[in-house]
Amino acid sequence: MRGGTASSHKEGALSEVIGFVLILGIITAAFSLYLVYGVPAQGRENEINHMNDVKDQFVTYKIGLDALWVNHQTSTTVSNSFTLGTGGGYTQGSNSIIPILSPVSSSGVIGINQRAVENLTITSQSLILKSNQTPIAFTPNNQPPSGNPSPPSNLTVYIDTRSSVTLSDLSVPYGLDLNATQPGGTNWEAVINLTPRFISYNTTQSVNCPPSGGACTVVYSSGTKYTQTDLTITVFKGGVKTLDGAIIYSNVQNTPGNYSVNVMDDAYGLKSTIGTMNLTVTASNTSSPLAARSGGAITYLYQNTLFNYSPITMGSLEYQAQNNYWISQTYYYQLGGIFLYQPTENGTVVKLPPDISFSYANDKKIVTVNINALAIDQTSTGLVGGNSPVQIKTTLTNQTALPYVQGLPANSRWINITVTTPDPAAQAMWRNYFTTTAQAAGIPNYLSPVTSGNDTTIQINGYDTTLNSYDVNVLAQNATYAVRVQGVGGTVQ
Amino acid sequence: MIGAILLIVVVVAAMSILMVAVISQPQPQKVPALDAEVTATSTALVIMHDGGDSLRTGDFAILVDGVNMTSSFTKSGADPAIWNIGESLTFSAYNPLHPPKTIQIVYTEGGSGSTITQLWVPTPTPTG
Repeated sequence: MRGGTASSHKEGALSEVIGFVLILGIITAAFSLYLVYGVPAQGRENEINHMNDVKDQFVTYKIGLDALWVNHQTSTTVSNSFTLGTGGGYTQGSNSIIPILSPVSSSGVIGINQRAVENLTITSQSLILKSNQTPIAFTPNNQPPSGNPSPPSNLTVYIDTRSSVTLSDLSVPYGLDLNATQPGGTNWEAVINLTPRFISYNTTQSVNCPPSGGACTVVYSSGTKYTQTDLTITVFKGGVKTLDGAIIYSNVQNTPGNYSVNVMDDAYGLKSTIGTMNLTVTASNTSSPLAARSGGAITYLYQNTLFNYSPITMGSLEYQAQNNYWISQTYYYQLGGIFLYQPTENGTVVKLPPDISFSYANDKKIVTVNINALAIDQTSTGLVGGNSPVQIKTTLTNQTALPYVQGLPANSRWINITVTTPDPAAQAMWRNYFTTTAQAAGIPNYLSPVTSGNDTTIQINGYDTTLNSYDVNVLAQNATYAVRVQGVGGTVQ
Repeated sequence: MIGAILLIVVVVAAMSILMVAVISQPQPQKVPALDAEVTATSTALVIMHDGGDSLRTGDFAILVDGVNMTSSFTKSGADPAIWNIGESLTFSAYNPLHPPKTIQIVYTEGGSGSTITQLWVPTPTPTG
């Protein structure tokens, strides 16, 4: 009996151990299943959500920087935060007792100007503002240089009446005749005259009444009387008189006596006609040269130029994810746009477009090219890695308009926009961006973007395929940002 | 003794049922996560892969206004078998006079279909 009892006790213990081991096995199997399927799925979900957050943070960053340059807030700083990894660096620490139950946190690196040097180059045949330009003076005896290459910004004639000895000298007609021949354009002529005004009158000279009675005969004598002198302009376009003796100044005097007339004033209808010209100036009615002096000036504040703007180094703010369960994506801000690069496929797409846009006014046949070259200062550098949040401080340091003439319907004959980058994925992205943007705008006569070496270029010729017309209007500016990065507990780079 | 055996049997049976219930569930299916954007002009309708998982041809369907029109889409890019980031699908049956309203990209791998994304088609933009 004792032996039987001992054997029974042994078997009872064995069954409990077996049961416990079985339960342990089941629990282990459940854990294994969770680890194999649950944790990666949860990690993938976390990383996808985190990448969406990063995308939103870049969009917020772009909007903040746009607000700076749109409102010309030079020297103003904006701050943005970026989360480098999932869990913000805290998930792993709090669950370190059982680290296998939670996905490993992803991490990332944020860098300023860590991409290879990438440039934006603008080349165009345009009317470019000139500084320190001396007006070209002319008088009837000193003709302006002929064959000037471009339309002037100002064509001013001065009539000086101060040499008139007496006011009556102004009764002598005097003026200037500006005669312009324009190859490929409409010839025009402007006659600017001191025009004396007279009134006619009749005075009774005698009244003859016949002695025998009857009607008397009145004898008149006629005469004219000078009243005043007006400065007038008469305009011919293509030989057709379009303005006849329009008064510019009424009742001119010899004091102060210096009258200026800008022939390119909108009121005379010549502004849109004046182009590249040979100008001949002659004095008219020189019978009284002492009555008034005359002269003038052609001001070329801009001229037709093959314009090469110095390459703008675009810079970048880049976030590289180091994901464990999903694609390691790379987002970067450059030239006002947000771009996404996926190294596994070596592909880049535009998430938000850069500030280079095109539009086309079909009624005016004018292509508008808008370029806001928003660059990150090359002296700004920084690199912070980890999975905690980082702060980015960005300051608009300067904002400069490129010297394209504004106020005209168009200022360019053609324009080339070139992005230089050694990154093949970025080259393909820029080709695609230029093509789709040009197509969407419906602009005519552009050369499909091509990549030669590291240069990806789009050439926009405008409506006129001969490239002789100003049918491309370029609006361009360059703004530069200084960027600093600061990690939590780190230092400002 | 009998009670212990019965207890073990009951526990094992309960756990077995639980495990069978768990294991018999389909494995967690990774539905591709991707962004796509649709551009409609007066000449073409194009869907661009805007980042995220690549899709293997045959693993997804494209529903145009609810109708499976996958075969009417032509893919750009070097590898015709995979739709990668930056590559586009052009809709050959596009009629700009009657543009579709919605496009759904449905992941069909693994049995049941899962909608990856639904795109609203913009009004066609004129081109030159």
